[in-house]
Amino acid sequence: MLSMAFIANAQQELPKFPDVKVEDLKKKEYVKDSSAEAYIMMNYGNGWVYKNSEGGYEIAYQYFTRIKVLKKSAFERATKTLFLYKDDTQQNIETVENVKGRTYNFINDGITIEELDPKDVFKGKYDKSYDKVSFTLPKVKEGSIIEYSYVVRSPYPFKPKDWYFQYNIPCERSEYTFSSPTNLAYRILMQACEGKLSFDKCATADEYRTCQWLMLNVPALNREKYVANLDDYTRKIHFELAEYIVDGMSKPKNLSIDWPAFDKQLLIDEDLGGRIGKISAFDATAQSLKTQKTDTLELAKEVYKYVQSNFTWDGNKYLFTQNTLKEIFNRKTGSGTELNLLLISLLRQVGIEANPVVISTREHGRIWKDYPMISRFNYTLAHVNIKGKDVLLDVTDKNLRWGLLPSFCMVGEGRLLISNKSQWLPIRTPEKSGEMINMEFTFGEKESELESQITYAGVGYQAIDYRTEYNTLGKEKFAEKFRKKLSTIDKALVEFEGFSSTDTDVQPVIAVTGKNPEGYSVVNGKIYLKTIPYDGTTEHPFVSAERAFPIDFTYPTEETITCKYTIPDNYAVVELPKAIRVTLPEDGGRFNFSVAQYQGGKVIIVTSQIQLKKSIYGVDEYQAIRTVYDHIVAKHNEMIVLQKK
Amino acid sequence: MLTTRLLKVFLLLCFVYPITAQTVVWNVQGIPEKLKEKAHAVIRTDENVLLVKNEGFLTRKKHTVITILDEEGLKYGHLYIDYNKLSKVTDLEGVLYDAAGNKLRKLKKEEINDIGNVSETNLFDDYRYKSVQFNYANFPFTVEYSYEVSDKRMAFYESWFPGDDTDDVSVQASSLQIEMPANMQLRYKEINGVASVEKSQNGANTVYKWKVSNLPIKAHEPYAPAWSERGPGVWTAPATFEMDGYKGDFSTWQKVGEFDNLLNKGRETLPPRVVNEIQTLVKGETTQEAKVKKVYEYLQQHTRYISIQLGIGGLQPFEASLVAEKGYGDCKALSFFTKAMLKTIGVESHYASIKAGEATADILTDFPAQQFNHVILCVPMPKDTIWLECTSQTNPFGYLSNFTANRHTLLATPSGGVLVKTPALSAKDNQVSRKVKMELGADGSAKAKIDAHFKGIFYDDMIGLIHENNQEKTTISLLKNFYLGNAQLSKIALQENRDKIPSVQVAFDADLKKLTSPSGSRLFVTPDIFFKEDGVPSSGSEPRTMDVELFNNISYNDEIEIQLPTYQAVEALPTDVSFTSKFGTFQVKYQLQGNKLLLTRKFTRNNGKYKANDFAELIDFYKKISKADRAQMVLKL
Repeated sequence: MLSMAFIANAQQELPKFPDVKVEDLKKKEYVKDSSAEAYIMMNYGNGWVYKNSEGGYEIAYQYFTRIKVLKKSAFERATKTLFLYKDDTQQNIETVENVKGRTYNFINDGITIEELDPKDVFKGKYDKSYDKVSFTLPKVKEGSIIEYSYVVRSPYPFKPKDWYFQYNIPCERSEYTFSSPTNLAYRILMQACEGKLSFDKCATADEYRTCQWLMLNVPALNREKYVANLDDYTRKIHFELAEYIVDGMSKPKNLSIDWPAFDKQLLIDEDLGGRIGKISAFDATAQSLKTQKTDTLELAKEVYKYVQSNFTWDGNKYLFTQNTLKEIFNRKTGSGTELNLLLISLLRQVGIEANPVVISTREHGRIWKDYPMISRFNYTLAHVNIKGKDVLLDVTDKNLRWGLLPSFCMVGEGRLLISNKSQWLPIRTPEKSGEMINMEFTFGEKESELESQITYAGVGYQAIDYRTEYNTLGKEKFAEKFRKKLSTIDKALVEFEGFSSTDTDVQPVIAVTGKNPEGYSVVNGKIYLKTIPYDGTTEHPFVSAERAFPIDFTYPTEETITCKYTIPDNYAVVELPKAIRVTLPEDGGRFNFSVAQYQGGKVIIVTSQIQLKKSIYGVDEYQAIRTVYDHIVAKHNEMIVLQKK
Repeated sequence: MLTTRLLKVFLLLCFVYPITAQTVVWNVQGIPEKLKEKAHAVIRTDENVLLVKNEGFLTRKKHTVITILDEEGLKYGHLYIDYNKLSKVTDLEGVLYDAAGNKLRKLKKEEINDIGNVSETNLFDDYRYKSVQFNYANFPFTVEYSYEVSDKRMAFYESWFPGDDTDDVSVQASSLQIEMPANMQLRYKEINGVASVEKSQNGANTVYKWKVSNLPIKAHEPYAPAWSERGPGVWTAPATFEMDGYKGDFSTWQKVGEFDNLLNKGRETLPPRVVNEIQTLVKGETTQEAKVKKVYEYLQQHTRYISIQLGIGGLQPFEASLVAEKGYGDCKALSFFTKAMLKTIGVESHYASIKAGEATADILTDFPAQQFNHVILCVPMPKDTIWLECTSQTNPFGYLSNFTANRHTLLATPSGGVLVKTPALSAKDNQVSRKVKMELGADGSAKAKIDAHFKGIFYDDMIGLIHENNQEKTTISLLKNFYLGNAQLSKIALQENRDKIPSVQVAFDADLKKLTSPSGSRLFVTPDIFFKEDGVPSSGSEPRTMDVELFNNISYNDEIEIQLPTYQAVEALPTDVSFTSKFGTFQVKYQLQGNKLLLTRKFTRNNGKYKANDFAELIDFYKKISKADRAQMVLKL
């Protein structure tokens, strides 16, 4: 008991770290990664849960970081900003104490040390939920070694802070200790750490359980194109309170739930499943909708459209509601979860069974299916099953059509919550997303006159993107984008079809017509034509030779460009590009390029079709994708040659 | 339990009652048709009232009503009010109306966000703001806000440009009203044809009022001058004032400079350690310029930039001793610190306030006021004045980039403010010259040796690569810059030349698997491929109404020598092109010598202000260049 009391109240001492060495101060680059602007020499953390003087539990964290600064671009790493959480009551506040910092420099054959002045630690209110503490270390130069340490105390021991081994600069040594009284059991989840830890041990003594981890030489984590959430690939440890027993309890309370318990908890939670209910103000509308549409699918679509067009998303993604649905109904605006729960309520009100599906959106990171944790989820969709078909719905985007979800929901699967029948539900991407571009070029009487007609038609997400741009930019600015892209077309006329319709099932089409005086050249009785004069893939999208993470395109895509030339009567084709067909392994995608002549050579039709059939490709498929693009770029740059007869 | 229920019923009644009682004022029908054209939102009224109580205190009152027409207009219904320790926001109220002008609800206290310490890079700041978002889904709807700010930020009155956002938002009515006590003078400048002031008396006070009404949407036009150069508005500023205990007078530039001197007074003492270091440092130097350079290098080695916005409206620098001690400061502190260091070696320099920005309108030289957002240092020399940008650890000595070049700056000299101009960068200063030697294979592959110099503003674009010294980023940047696709680059060498107009030299080899693809027996080559200009301005909506403003003088001087593969015939060789317009000159020449093709390209573009009807010519100028750059050579293999 005595030792526990001691631990509970005492400030834990920082271990003694090795002195800064002259040889480290003299270093000009990081040998293992010459591109690094700085590297972490030591990152140390210690989190411990303890009983406070009032008998409640708190958690404290002791941090120490030592960084070697190599380049000027790393100077901002000498400024540290902490955000400290406080709840609505402003009573349960995280605090920081014992902030210390130092800058080491090597000057005139000696080490100089500059201390952080406690006066230069700035504390202030940031907003309702956070205080901000910031400090910056003095006298930082190229070559400096900086270090800082501080203690954070938090009244939130049920959700300890993650420990990150990996940052966007390399780290030589990262070390974390976590200890907690044995009556509080934590679940500890490691991400991307397999085989990387040099030390990984837990031990129990004096009713305290202590775990320690050590990782050496952690490489920098760099951003790549087509990655949904870099945090999913970062080496880190996550903690979650799983079970506890405190004075006065006869048996431990288990917080670590299985999926059925997870489902039940969310279904009855008054800020999620519990919110779903009748909205009296909707009664009249419900009645009239029901009389208008007798078919269930038609009726469901009407309710969907009603919510979609009458309510505006406030941009927030929270798992739980913050307002009652009545309030949302009156305000006409709410978070994604709030609006989708409203949709569920209204669907039920017209007699259609609808249920919530909880997910973690793309930027929120993946869920860990082996460990049901509410905190991994951040969003709610609506589900209906009509005539045996599962449909997932979201009303946050006014340009979405029935059954299509915003791209941030493309996460593989979600948890459908139905009393006693909850289950995982795949989130299917639309069969097709992409563009169909049709170009027609016809020579007039003279070879110097070429009529152009180009249409762009969007499918799936591309259609939504078109609609969104049209609605946000306005017709004029959107047309200007096309005129700019097709700037060589003289006096281009841009027309829109299917955009004004409120029916999101109508396919939006953009048609551009004009004369094209520059897209080809006439020299010495020859005409040279570009195979695909516009919108071709003429620059390679995958420049990097290597790839670290899977390539996540969000959803499968397909782009088809058809280019039809009607050539002058007095010319004949002397050179045509050859057809080619390239496929990705296991038919994961393909590039089809074909060229055909019709009407005795008077008409040439070139077709390019790029299909990426998967949403996500593995790192091992990167080179194959890159090669496909080599072919695409080559073919899209080829020419057709005509000779005067 | 019973009481809460009763309370709920009572609240509900309260809520319902005003809706029926509300007199319809902000009905959407009250908006003239032409104000709805192309608009996403309409400012129904925007009343700005400034009550100057005395030299040290004023009240700002705002009443604004905005009708949001569609989703894109939502952001115009959001309110932001900034304040700091010298100001206080009170009586913030908001009301939401439906299309018919019926009151839907009032703004609740908890809907007002109060946010501070916003930026992560702004370490020290007492800047805060209040923000409100009223969202509703049934368009159109209307929001109304009113609030007051009790304010001691007396160096800043109100500048009013009612049509500033008219590419999205039309304005039904907007006004500025300033009430001055009898003993105080209001200084103002009406610009771009705003209707003249209406003056009236309120007791002993004089009331100045400006208003506009019915400003329709003015579509965005590329290369248009800033609104303050073309739209109606009023600049206002105090004559005499007092802020945080400092008395100032802005009636002349000389006096604006005196205020800077007052704020800086007594803050330039340096610790003896630094004085000694500086003395030692310059000991061996014989010329003034060399000494100044040493001091500047000392600054760059010992300090770094941190943004600071504290007190006195962010106008007063840290004490020089503090910068010496901490090794950091903002533009004011670092410039002032450098001035203090130069003083210890007997070199006089001037704290120079400037309006920084890459493509920004100059200050109004005939209206003395705090129009600046940055500080640099001016060191007068017998021959050439030296200008020092003190916030950069890497900037070459004496170089001002287009962030501060070619504009007016206010020097705080011992006898007060003096307005002078910073030097301009010529087309020769801002130059790119590229030399390429390339071997072209019959299969369309190519090997190229590239040697390029980026000077002046182009130096600014490239120097980051040297500082970052990151092989991968450099490669990606070069591939983009020279349109090299996914070529393999090797032997990359970057070198900085720290002349007064600095430059970066870039040399590398590029191995292109596919510069071009053979089309059967032919090879199509665009000789200008690495230099091409693809920045044809878009025409915008016609007819053009606004003047055209181009900011930088720039020039390109390029050369490529292509070793061609064995060929049967050159079926097509691009023709030489040369033309001149008021915007500049362009010239490209081709010479075929056996199986070598030599291309030379010279392009100069002038800065300046041009008339609206010159715009078509500017587009044409760029189109001709773009066309010439895309010209292809056809080789029959």
